[in-house]
Amino acid sequence: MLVSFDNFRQDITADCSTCAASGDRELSAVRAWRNEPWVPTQGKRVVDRELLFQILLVENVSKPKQAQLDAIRAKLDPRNQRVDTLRGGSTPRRQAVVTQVDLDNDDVGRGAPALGTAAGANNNKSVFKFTLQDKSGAVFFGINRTPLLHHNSWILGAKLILKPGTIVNNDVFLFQKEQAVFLGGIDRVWNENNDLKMRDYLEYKLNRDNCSAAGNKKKRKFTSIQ
Amino acid sequence: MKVLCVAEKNSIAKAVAHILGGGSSTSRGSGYTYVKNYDFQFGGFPFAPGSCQVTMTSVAGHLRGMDFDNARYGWGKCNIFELFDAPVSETMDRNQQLIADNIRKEARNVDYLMVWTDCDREGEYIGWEIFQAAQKGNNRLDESKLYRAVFSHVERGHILQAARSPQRLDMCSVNAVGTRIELDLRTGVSFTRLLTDTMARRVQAQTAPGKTGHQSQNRKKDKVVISYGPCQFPHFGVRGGRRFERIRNFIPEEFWYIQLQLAGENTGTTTFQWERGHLFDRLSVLTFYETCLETAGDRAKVSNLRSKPTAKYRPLPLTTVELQKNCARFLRINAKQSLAAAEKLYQKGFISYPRTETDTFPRTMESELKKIVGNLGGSDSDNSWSSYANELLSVNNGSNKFKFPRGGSHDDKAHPPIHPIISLGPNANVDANEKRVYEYVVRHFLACCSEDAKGQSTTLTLDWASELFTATGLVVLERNFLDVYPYAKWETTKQLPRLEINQECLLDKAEMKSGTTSTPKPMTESELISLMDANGIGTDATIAEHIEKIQARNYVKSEKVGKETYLQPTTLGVALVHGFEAIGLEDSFAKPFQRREMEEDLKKICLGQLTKPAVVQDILTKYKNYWHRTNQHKMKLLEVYNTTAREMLS
Repeated sequence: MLVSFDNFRQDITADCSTCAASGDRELSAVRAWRNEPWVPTQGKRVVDRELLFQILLVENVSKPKQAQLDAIRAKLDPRNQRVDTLRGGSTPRRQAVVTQVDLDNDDVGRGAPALGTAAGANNNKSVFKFTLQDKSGAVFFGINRTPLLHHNSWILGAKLILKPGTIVNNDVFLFQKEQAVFLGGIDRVWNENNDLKMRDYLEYKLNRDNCSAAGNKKKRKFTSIQ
Repeated sequence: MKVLCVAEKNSIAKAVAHILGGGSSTSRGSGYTYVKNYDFQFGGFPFAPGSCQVTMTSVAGHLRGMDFDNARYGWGKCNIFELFDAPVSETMDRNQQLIADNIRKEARNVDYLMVWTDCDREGEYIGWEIFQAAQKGNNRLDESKLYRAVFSHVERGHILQAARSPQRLDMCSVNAVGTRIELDLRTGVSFTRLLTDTMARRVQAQTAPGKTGHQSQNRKKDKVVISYGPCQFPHFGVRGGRRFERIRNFIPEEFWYIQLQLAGENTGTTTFQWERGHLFDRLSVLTFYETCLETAGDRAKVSNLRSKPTAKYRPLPLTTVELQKNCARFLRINAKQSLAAAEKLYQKGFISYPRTETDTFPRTMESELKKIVGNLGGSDSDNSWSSYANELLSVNNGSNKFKFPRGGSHDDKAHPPIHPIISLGPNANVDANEKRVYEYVVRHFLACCSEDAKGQSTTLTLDWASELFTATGLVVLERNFLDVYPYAKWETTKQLPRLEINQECLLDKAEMKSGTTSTPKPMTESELISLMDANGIGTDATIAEHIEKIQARNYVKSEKVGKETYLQPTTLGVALVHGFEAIGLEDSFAKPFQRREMEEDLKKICLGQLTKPAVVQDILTKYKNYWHRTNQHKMKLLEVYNTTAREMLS
């Protein structure tokens, strides 16, 4: 059966050997698909061939989960907005509640709100943890080292090629902007009710971490060079 | 010619009489203990040439109240909804009656009436009340004989100038205050009665369970009233939401980060912070850490070295909100007390009028400001700031010389920023709080008239296998205003190691560390003041009152933890906010939008863009709808109260 690689909608765990491809990007996707998938190895390695993945999940690890959850809840129901400001959003200015002010910032005029941008780094500098799947169905994590601009390509199911030179540490891919080619592609089912799914996921993770933290108060120790 | 002058408080009447009468006024009783009448001669009013016989008296705040007729509209005597349209009448308590009688008598034979109330919206309205009381004793007094003194402090020259250039009462402001009073009465009484009828029994049972026997004899005294104030309620909503969404539901989250340490020859150990801050995923940080460690080991390179001049700005001129906020933060004096102390200082002539939104001095005041600085450094002043003030004006060499204060963006067009008028001598008749507030006002003022603090900041960036780490150092070169303003902290930090760009260095330590996010703190009073101001609720001068009221109404209680006082919401407060949310009225009641809209309408009345009847009708129509909705869903409010009470106990 001839399967089209058109718009990268194809699930790569299915057989793509007979995929029709036109254009450079599709051709490179097919080429990367044909390469041997990554074989799990311990320690630090460097990728030596183009690897094709599809994105299963993207998590912003620079921002606390609680802040992300608050943002999603406010987006799902603006009336619920009690924690952060809605400035700059679709809500009219007069409906913005200022709930945080910076008392220590003397250089800001009186009462001028230091807007409650959720804790964490500027979105451009954020570190994202990608859950990636290759054609064999194996799942890996990927982390961006440099700021990424392809927010729209991060729709679940989108394809990603990691180029030779990408560092892999204990099977976690640590890639820079020039080593990652985001190809787009969308899986409609995976992306249905994305906000709701993300809300549930974050709620679950927060509660799980909370329970495990309560049950295991002992701090982990880390190695350090002295 | 006879002129009757009426101030808002006796202390102002006394001070003005002393100035206008050249120190030779005679005082006599008024029939009310705390108000005196001062008689003197004055010859500077432009409307009455020649020497005039003047009587200066005062009121004690508002001269009358507004209420419903108790016989017809008392509690339980009418359908609550009728209160939205019921006629209201003016009321006077016994003291107000005595003061009004005095004004009526004193006005009997006068040719002119001059109002000396505080120059703000409420002052205009009180002026109108005085005029009406005076008219009852003298029907020849019409609006053409009514004048208004415009002043912002009781310094001699300023008061003489105010007497020589009288203005007219601003009827737009009078109407705005009238609108506010009527709306507060109608909405306050109707919602208080509805909420009390619905919830009081449940609240009483919850707060005092199992009261029997002789304790029940005090039932009437203990009766719970669920008081609704259209302004205080949104105040609580602003903060109640934060308290309960963020603190109660707070789950600590673990985060990880990398930190480098470098030992310098003479500088000790310097810690470098990761440019990525901290990440909320252990695997991600471990991946970065292991990769860097494997790639670069214990070697890093200096990738950037930046040194630039920096400054710490002197404060903006002082407004009421800033005064209240900073007295709460720095002096631990609450908003009500600090404003009261500032009022007293103003009445005694030590500082300018303390109710102002203006944070910019007009350029024309430059010489006056210099004069004040000179006075603060005068020989009769042995305060710790006097030598600083002298130095500001001296011609000696030095970086810190008088500089015209920087200007903010707020101007209420009525009063300049709060500033000292004269130096407070060692034997001045002031209490401890007044003394501390005065010191704050003086230090703030001198800081405003000083140079910014100047320094040099250096940022050193290390590259450890392409991950960047920075350390910042500060050298304060000129402290300038900081010498008189101990409330701001800006100190020289530890010296950074001497390194050059691209220099390779050996790390002392490279560690992966972890921490957890901490629970947000409950709100302090100074934070609440800023929030109320930022959300446009209340006027700067009424904020202290509102904080007091939300406590009196049992929406919040204050709790002292260490040196800090936090405001904690009560079960009732939380239940009301969540209850109104549950019935879909959160935007109207639990959040400040409705009140903000009303404040904007009042401002428009002041500007002559809207009229009182239009605003009253418009806002009452909205409140009638809210009232119906609340009435329909009152069981929901009870339900939420029960749930909240259970949650708060658990």
